[in-house]
Amino acid sequence: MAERVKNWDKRDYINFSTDVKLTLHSPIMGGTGTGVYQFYAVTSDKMQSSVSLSEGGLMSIYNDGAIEIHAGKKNGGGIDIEIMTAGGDICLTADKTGQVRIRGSKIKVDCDGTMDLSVGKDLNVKIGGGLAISANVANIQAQTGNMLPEGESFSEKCFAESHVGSSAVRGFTLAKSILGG
Amino acid sequence: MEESLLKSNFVGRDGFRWWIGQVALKDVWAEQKDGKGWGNRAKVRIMGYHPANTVELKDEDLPWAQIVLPMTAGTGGQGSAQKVRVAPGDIVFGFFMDGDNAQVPVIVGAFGNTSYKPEKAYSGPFIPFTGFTNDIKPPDGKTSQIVGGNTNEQSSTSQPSAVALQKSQVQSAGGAGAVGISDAVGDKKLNATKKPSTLDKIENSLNNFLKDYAEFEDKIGKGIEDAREWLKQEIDFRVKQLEEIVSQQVGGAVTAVLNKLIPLVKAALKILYSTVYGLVFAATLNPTTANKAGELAEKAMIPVVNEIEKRIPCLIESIIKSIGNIIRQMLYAIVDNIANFVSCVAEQFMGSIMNSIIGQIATGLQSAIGGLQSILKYVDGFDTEDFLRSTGEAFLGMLGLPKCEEDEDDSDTKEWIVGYGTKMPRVSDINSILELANTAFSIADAQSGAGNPIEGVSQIVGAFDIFNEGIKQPDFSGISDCFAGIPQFCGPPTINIFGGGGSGASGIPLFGNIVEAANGGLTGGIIGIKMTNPGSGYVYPPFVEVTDSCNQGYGAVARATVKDGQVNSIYIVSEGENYPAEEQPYIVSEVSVIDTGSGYSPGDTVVDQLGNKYETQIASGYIVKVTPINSVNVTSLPILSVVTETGVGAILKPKLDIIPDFQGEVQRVVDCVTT
Repeated sequence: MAERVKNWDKRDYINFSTDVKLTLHSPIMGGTGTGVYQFYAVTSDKMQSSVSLSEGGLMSIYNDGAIEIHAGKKNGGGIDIEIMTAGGDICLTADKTGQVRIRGSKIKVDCDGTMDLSVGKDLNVKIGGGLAISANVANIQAQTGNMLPEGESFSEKCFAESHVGSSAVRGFTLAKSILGG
Repeated sequence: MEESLLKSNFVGRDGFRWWIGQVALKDVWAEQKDGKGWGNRAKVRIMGYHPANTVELKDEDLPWAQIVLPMTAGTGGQGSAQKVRVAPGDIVFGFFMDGDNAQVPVIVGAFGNTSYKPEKAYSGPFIPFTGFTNDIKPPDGKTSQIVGGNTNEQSSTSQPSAVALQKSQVQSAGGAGAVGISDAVGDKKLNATKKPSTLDKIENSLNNFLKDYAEFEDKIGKGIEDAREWLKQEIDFRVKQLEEIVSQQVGGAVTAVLNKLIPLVKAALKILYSTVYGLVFAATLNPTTANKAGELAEKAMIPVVNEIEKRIPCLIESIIKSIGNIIRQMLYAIVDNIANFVSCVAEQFMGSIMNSIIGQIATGLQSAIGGLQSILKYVDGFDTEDFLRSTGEAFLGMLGLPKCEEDEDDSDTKEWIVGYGTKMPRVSDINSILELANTAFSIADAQSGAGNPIEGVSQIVGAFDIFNEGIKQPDFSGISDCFAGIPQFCGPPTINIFGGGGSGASGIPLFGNIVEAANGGLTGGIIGIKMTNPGSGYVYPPFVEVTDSCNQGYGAVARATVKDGQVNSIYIVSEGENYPAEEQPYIVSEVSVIDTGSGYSPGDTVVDQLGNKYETQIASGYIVKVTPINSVNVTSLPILSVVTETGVGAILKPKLDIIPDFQGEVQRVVDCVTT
């Protein structure tokens, strides 16, 4: 099979051993272009690790094991890690069984626009102190539950325009709860 | 003694003797290499001075040779140092510090190994042998990259690098024996979005599951116990993951049923009241009694309605659990059928989950709604399954689509492919998936009705193609055009332009660096993209993705520029390779000035490696416009550079176009302008 013309003359490399090497300007095509640099290592039990930059501009850091970033041991406060983007998003994704966990003595989330929270199953909030929500408009939509305002449950909506009215439903559920039904 | 008295003991004054020799087996200078060394030295057998056998001169008795370092290596002084890299079997050369006495050799350099150097073990003096030892073992060629570990010759096969591609593409790019930089490359990861799509999540989970399965398939087929255990654990995990993914949809579908039920119950209660009122009034002619009777009839329905509400949380929970068991059967059913993951596989999988949800909700709500049937008959009754099968509204959340009065999701990037970057979000039609689900359900239902039920999970969730092993055969005919086998034909790649706040932009690929593939077809890189529609509404440059249906090509990277809300140009950053291609010559039609640079002088010119000439406009030291002035046929990506002695920093990208058809020569030009 014919091959694309590759610039082997520009390639440079240093092999530190069979398992650690630095390659510059590899003409082999990758997912986002040929290589600019690639620092690659593999452990004796085949755990791969690399830091690389491609001509397409993607810088990648891979490691089959964990990656540890620790900063500020001697910083004495202030900011120890700052992650910024110029115009694009910052995405954190934990796949498979992974969780996204954030822990701190205080956590602040400051959003200039809209904050969306989409939860597939349950949203559990446990608060040691009080809960304060301040908003111009606050709405809750659900079919059942004790946070629903009067007239908003499924049963109350069904009876809203009946002759007994939704108050009869509240009376029924109140009596049921008192009688333990 | 006399001779020594005649020696000057200055290097070179007593004769200068060069030599070539072979570094001995490590065994005889092991202490030097095992952390107990002194200085920089190795034992060498020197050609012409030492015999080519170990009887006359044992390896142990060979002289130590001092090693001279290059000035850039560092001696250790001021903490600057590099390791001396000398291996057993290396052919080195040097000189004797003691001239003709030839007892104090110094190594100056080494001859690099060629690919002809044998990898065999030591068999005798001066016979080439491997430099690998028990402490530094040769690479196994599977993960470790340095497969040509004993050579450093100037060739493309010497010391290959890891390839930053997914496994299916690694060999095309890196040749036989090449391996990927990481197994993670090619994995799809979903980003958080405002309206997460269940279909995207299902597709992501299935795709990664089948990608991992492909790596274990051979081992599982051979009955290797660890591989079977992996499959079991992986499926357990995927079941749990998919349960969570579909749980929101179960809740959504139940809510849709209840919302549909509310106006029906309201209307039915009205009719109930009127009916009872009418009957009692006719019997008693007393409106108060009739009213009380009507109200009592309504009140009698409160426990029935309330029971439905009470059951909702448990109902959703039990449906999710039941679906988990079905998903497990579905995963086992598809795992050997899909040779090539295509989006229709995810759509069919989602369709089968929809059927499962519909069936479970219908069964779960049946007994609860059953008590209402006595009044729902006033409004032509209500069938949960019929309702869910008749409209996609209940499943809109599955595609991450907004319901009425909800905002669109403004995320451009919903999916990221490791090593490749962002991927265009899919567009699916919920009604067509529901239609597919209904068709599959009808077939399975008809088969059961005829006393010939379909075997396996298809009987429960419907006769989807993904549960049929024929789906990977080219001539397979199923309920849709879903072919999950190895593609038989690879068409030209498509250009996907997405994000940037706008829509409608489109383009076609222009190919270069074309080569003949092993199958006789043509493959190449993308050297240009011809815009066919600039689109509208773009506020920042959209993403440009190049894909082909066979996932054959890789490495093409393109960027768009936006002007007045439209995509005015797409330039190529990396042309990639291996895309199914068509041979056609192009010309440079325009040049995009990505960066004007600065300091350029009048008279500076722009050239490329193909011989094109360009008119260059420079204002205040900036390159403001570059226009091609001739039409050289272009078959590879032109690299534009500025011939200048003063300017720096300009980035210029060519814009290519198909050579227009010959329009015929201009025979005569008539100047109609008269004065």
